Amino acid sequence: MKTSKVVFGLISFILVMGIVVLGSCSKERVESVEEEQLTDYEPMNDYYNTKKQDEQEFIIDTSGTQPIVGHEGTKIYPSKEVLMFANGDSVQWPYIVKLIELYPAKDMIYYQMPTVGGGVILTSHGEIKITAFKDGQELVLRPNRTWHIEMPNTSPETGMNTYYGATNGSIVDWGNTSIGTFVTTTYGYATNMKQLGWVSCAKDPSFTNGIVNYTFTSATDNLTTVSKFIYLPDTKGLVQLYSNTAISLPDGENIKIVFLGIDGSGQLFHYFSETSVSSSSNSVSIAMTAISDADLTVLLDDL
Amino acid sequence: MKMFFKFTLIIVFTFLYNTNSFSQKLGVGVSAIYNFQTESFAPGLRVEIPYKRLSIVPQVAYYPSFNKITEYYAGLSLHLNLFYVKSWAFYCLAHGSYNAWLNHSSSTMDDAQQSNWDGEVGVGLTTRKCFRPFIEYRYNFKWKETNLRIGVMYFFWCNNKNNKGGGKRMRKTMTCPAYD
Repeated sequence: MKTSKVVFGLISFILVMGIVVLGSCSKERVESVEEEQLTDYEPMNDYYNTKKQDEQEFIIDTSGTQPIVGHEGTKIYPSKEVLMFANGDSVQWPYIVKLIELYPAKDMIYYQMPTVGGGVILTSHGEIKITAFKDGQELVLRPNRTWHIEMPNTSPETGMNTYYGATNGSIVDWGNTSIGTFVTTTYGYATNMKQLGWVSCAKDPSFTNGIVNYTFTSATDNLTTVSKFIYLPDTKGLVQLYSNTAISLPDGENIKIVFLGIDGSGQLFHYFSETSVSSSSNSVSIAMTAISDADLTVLLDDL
Repeated sequence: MKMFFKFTLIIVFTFLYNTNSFSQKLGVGVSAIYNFQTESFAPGLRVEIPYKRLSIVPQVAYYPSFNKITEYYAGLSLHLNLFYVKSWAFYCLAHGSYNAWLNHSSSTMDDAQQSNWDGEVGVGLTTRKCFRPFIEYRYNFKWKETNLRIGVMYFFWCNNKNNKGGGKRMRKTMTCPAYD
């Protein structure tokens, strides 16, 4: 190896390395991408728990008179004779009746109780949960016996049915078939409950215009833990998207898209859009913005 | 872009024309690449066409989407062997490439765009055998980033008889024709 070659090589090497040092390496590119990372949100459950309808408790004994009336106007006509323990034993006074009432869409959102049954978006004029307990044990209705209930509504519609909710994990599914019907009254609706638990005054709106597949994406927000609801104001249907960001919606229906999030400091964020279902606008880009608790309450009240 | 390809073709054909036995001096190889600034990994593919102390090295590299920066490069390097120490060859290189920054839309940089032209310089070390591991350290003028490439080349029709791809020292008389 000639000395001149070594010298030439070393000089070249030094020149190249000098350029590297003088060029001052930059992390600008990667930092510019990191700045654009999606905003993460905390689960909304804690916030919802502070806002959702309380579960009301009524002690039933000999001193009371029927019906029980809930805060939102639900009337219950309990009867101890048709109650029993799970093993068939009879129930004696006193016992406890518990009631949850979800009438406006806001309360259904707070309780995360959409109106979907068996994959069908149902029209619902109210969801209630009625349970009974004695000595900490949940009671059931005797076979073929019922409790009469009434649900308030100023403009009751005919054709409303009784859908019972089946809990699947944390999700309540209303099933794809109704069991019994609601009759219209001057008070609203009335029916005879065949089982305790969740019951919805609902019907299948039978959309006929086909469906449009909607997808929701965001360049700014991580939608994973965002609460995602679609409200259909004309049919009074509520859909919740869980882990998915896509859904099939009835073509031509007016919808209100409501996405809610909360960050680690408790700041609320939302996305709201009102539109009609159309295949020409079925890809929705979500950008969450901050909103106050009071403004969000008003927004949900106006759904 | 057309100018770049014209320039590339001229260089390649000039070398091919001046290489008496091109078919005996063609290497292909793979490499693993790490970009120190973007902390990204990439595989690379390259072909090496040596001629005396020089080599033309067309190459591609792809930084997959698991990296913060997703992009690919397709370009051409010119290697110049500076000196040899026993079976090792030290070289410097200049490189020009087309760079497609695939997730540029996620960047807040004002001049972030998908299509870019990059220039790099660097130094490398390789062996003079038919089966040649190599290591390169390069600087990218466009992004002001450095990357390290470690890989291996295999030269076809290489006739150094004592080479089995191992680490034996080679006498000068048995070096690959690529460096004759």
